[in-house]
Amino acid sequence: MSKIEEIFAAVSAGKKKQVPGLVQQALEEGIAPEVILNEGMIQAMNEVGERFRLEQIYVPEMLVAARAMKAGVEVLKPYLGGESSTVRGKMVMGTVAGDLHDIGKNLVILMIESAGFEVVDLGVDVPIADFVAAASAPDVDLVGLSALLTTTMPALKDSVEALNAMDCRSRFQIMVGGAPVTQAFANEIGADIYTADAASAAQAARKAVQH
Amino acid sequence: MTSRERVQKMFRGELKNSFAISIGGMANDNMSAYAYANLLKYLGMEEKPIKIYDLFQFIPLMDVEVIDRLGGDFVHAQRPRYRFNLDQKEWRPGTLHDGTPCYYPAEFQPIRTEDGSLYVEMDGERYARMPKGGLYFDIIRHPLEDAEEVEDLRLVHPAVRMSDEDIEYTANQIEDLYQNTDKAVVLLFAGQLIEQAQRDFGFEEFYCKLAIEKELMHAYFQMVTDAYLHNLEGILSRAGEKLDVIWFCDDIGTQQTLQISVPMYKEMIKPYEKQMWDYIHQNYPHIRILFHCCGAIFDVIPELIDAGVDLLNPVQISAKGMDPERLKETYGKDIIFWGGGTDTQNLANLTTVEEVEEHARHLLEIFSKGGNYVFSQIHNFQADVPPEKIVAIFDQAKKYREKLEAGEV
Repeated sequence: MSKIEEIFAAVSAGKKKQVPGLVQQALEEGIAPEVILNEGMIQAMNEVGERFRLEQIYVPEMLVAARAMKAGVEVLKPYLGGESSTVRGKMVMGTVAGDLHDIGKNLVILMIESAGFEVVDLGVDVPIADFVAAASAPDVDLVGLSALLTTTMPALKDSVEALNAMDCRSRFQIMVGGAPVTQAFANEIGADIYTADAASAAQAARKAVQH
Repeated sequence: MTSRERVQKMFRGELKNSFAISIGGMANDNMSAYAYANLLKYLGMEEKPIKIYDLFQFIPLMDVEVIDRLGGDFVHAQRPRYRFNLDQKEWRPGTLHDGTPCYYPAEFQPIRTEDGSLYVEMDGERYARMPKGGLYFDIIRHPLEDAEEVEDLRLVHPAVRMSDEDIEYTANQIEDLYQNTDKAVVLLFAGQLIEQAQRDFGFEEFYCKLAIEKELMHAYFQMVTDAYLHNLEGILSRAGEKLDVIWFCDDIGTQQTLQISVPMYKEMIKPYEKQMWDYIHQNYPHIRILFHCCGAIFDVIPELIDAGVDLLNPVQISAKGMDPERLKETYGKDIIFWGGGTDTQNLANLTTVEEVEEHARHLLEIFSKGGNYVFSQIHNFQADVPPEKIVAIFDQAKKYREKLEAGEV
């Protein structure tokens, strides 16, 4: 088994303790950091996401894989060149005002990071102005908003409305999700992307930045 | 036939042309205190106190007259330290956000910070937070977040194990409801394994530990289960004969799929549930186990039945694979569904009372076929659900039951 295959297997199986050592060994063997990242780890997470969508694995297995990848990325970071070469895109993401729920949001962040994105986590109970301020950064490709409660769906609508009114709106896409949110509701409030789970969100994010 | 007689008849398998109804009979077929305040006004019952016993879900103790007006067949008793370890043997007056008078457990003294958030403290530390403009407290501290060894588990909150005084108090409540109402009596026991672990470890940490630190999690679950068995033995030895149902809850589902695989459930969770449920069934065979579990759980239902679940709630028909007809056909002979009667997540889209009635009637037709059904809405009504919709739903259920009993449907 090649080192890359070993990394791929260790990330897939969520071996957080093994992955950093394997990444270090791969670097010592002279494998390019970008290759380790893309072929060893991101591809492993793509497969993990796919298996999650096929209900072959569930939240615990997906989480340990994402954590294992994160541990590997920490080792890799100092060796990776300029950001533009390895970062697929940038996303800002938060749970809307009045809503403290973050399990779904955090899962989505983990999976989107695992797909090679830089994600700025705005946290929970995020005021509309904070979404707008974060979205105005010139390098933001995606703005993600989450709501768990039927009673915070209006806050989701208001936040998307404010983002839609921004002058630089054409620069980013808006992704929404959360338990009560549906494709129909996303369309109604003017969001670009709705996904039902974290793996699909990562897939949609990848698609969104393909130019 | 009284409510209690109807329910007991159903449990004996003798209620074929009827069904039971529950509203406020347990902790997941109730409503936000705001919706309850509006309901009381609508029914002309404003004098009824709004006692918020579940500070996490922000739901009131529904008055038995209100339950009766809506056709409910169940009432519940609960332990006095129901949420955040706050004693609710005593109540204090307070108000909802909109100024409506209500009552809170006397020990509930939240701290308001400059940003408008409310905090609940436990053991001198901030434990739960309600953001400004929010309607719910969420837990922000997880005492076992850094636990690595079995000995770190001693930090499991001591509230899991009830004091003799609290056991006595709970048993007295059961006795009181048994003597002073003709409703079937439910004990809100909870007995949570997954959700207790999520509170203690934090969500992410919990799932990861479940996948890779199984020994630690087995030790944790056994410790929690032992405390629950102590509580059950105490309450049931005093009041078990007066009780009809014990409510347990844990979420195994998401709206799309299960949170954990069926094999993982069988390995990590089921053995501990079975300890509790076997104890009850063996010693108090008249008591039924009610299990509340949201989400897309179709595939795990056979395991739940095998573990000892008699009644399943809330029957979240909007979740993937939870088709009402398929559920009733597949499991209707082995389990009593409690819920599924109105899709509360989509209630806002049913704009007229007629649409709401039609929605409920359609689901009643499916779930009440052959008896073995407790009608209720799917989970608690949220703050913004108007009272006329709530009343319409339950009037529809009562009307349908009368017709069914008269052989007209």
